[in-house]
Amino acid sequence: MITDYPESISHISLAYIFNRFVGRIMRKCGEELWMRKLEDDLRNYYSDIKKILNCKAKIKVKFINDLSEHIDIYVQDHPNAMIEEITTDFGTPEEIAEGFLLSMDDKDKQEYWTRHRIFRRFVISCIVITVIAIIGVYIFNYLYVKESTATIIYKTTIESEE
Amino acid sequence: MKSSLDKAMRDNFKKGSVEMLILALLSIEEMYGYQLSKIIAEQSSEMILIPEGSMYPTLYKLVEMGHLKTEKRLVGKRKERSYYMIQSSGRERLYDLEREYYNVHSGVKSILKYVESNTGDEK
Repeated sequence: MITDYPESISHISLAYIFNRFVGRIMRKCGEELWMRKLEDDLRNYYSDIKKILNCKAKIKVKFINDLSEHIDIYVQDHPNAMIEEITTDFGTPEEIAEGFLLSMDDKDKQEYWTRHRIFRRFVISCIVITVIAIIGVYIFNYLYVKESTATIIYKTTIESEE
Repeated sequence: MKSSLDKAMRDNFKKGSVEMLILALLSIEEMYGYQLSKIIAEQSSEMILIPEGSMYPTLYKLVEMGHLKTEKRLVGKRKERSYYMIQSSGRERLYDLEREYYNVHSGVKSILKYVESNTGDEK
């Protein structure tokens, strides 16, 4: 019994040291992995919101910045939060975008859609003009080259006959 | 048709309420977005929860109208936080909204009292 006693103390000390030192390192690594995963998930979350949100680019950027600041503070208050909890508390990207658009002024919405329509028409016009220009160049090239080739053949024939 | 009218009414009511609540809290002290939504949830015992998607557009609109001013402040070593502070036109707007709210509230209360008294008579 007496001889066993110092051994058990040394076992306890070793276990204690292991738990304190190595355990701390493992916990730190686990925390970093968790943080990195959360950052990646949040990046995708903000990216999904950006895709769905139909508003001026300046307002979109400002909103995403403010929302990420908001969620950062939330994560500080809830250290073990994962993306699922954040989605439950804040809403899915669709819900956030819907709430945002419902809160926008009708005037702002109309202004955005008018600009969007003008931009779309401009892009379509550019594409049509480019296609017409390409066809025109091709036709012109074909006719001009054909005519030039015919002239060269004709001149060569006359010269050879002479 | 009726459900879309109901939804439109609810949305308009929500918009007006959110604006009033935000201005009311900012009349006490300047706050940042997370703080605003947390206080609203806590003080209303989670009866009123303003989603961030609704709160921020309202804040932007109030800043645009000059009722609020926003300022970025350094928090910690590198992070910045946007604080909102009420302006004098914001206080006037708050006063108008509060008056409107109390009028509507008083009107609704009177109607409910009338209904209650008539229901009591019938019994």
